[in-house]
Amino acid sequence: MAKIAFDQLRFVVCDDNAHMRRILRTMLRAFGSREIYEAEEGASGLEAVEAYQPDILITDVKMPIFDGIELTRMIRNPDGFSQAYLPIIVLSAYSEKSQVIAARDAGATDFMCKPVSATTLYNRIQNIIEHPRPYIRTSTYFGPDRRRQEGAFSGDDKRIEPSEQYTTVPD
Amino acid sequence: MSQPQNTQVNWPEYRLIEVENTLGAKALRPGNQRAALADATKKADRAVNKLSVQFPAWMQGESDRLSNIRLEMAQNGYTAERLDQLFTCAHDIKGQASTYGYPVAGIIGKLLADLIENAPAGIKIPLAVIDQHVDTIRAIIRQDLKGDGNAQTNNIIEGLRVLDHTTLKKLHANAPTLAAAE
Repeated sequence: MAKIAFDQLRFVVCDDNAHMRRILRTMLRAFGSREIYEAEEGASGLEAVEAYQPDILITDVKMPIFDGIELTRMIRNPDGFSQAYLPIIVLSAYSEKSQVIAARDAGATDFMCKPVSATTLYNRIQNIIEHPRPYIRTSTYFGPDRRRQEGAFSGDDKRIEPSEQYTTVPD
Repeated sequence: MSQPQNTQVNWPEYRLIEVENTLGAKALRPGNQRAALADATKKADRAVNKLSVQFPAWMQGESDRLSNIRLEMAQNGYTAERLDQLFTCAHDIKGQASTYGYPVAGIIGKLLADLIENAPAGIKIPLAVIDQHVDTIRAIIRQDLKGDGNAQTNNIIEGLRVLDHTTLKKLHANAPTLAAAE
């Protein structure tokens, strides 16, 4: 069991909508974070990541110039970008599976659907910090391992043969 | 975030890179996780609640933006750029209206965004159909209709769904002819 010292974490929040940035900033500040930098589209998001070296980037998908998926792809460049291992939470009003897959295939660490709640945001950040996934590098992909590592299953193991699972009571 | 020290496992087709948990070392502290979550989210909800006095004005701003783009399309031409602006605005409303306390407006924003996204490329969506979505969102904000709505709003949503379905069906059926005529 552990808690997060948010005052040790630096965030960049990238969203073209000023109100959404304000809501995210309000939540992160309430969690205890003091260093939150903002960008309003993909290009300035990339600059902010380079300039502020955040611990976590939270980015919207639909933005002018280049979107959150392209921003993620640009960051996941281990040979050309110093922050290639940066945890990235992609935030979007798109909840369609295709968008989640697009974000995942670009190298996003996690995906959140709008409207965003404080509990979901906290849980996503906690999961990123407590359970970082290994990275995979192939000729076509660089980013966190796309196979989710689930926790140990706590229910009955159905694969156990019935004879192993139950004690036979003699007549 | 500094570059972590990594252990690499190499296979012919890919490399598995075990990343050192620098964030964990930096920000994880012993403590009760459940209590920390409850405390943090309670503070965040309280802070967002304080902000919520501004939500009606923010929602009004989004509604005005949508209305202005619609007006631009009607007066100065239906262009791909304006349609994209309209989509972005509808998409923003879809994502934010629930947070602002207007989930019904969010549903209609989603309907409008879906209509634009699913219409065949290069074919104009009738402005009258777009107008119905924009006017409904404006009416919701004007009447300050917060919460999950009622039987009347459910009927309006259902009516718009049917309208969108019929419109898309017609647009797709006519798409090859109209595209050739353009």
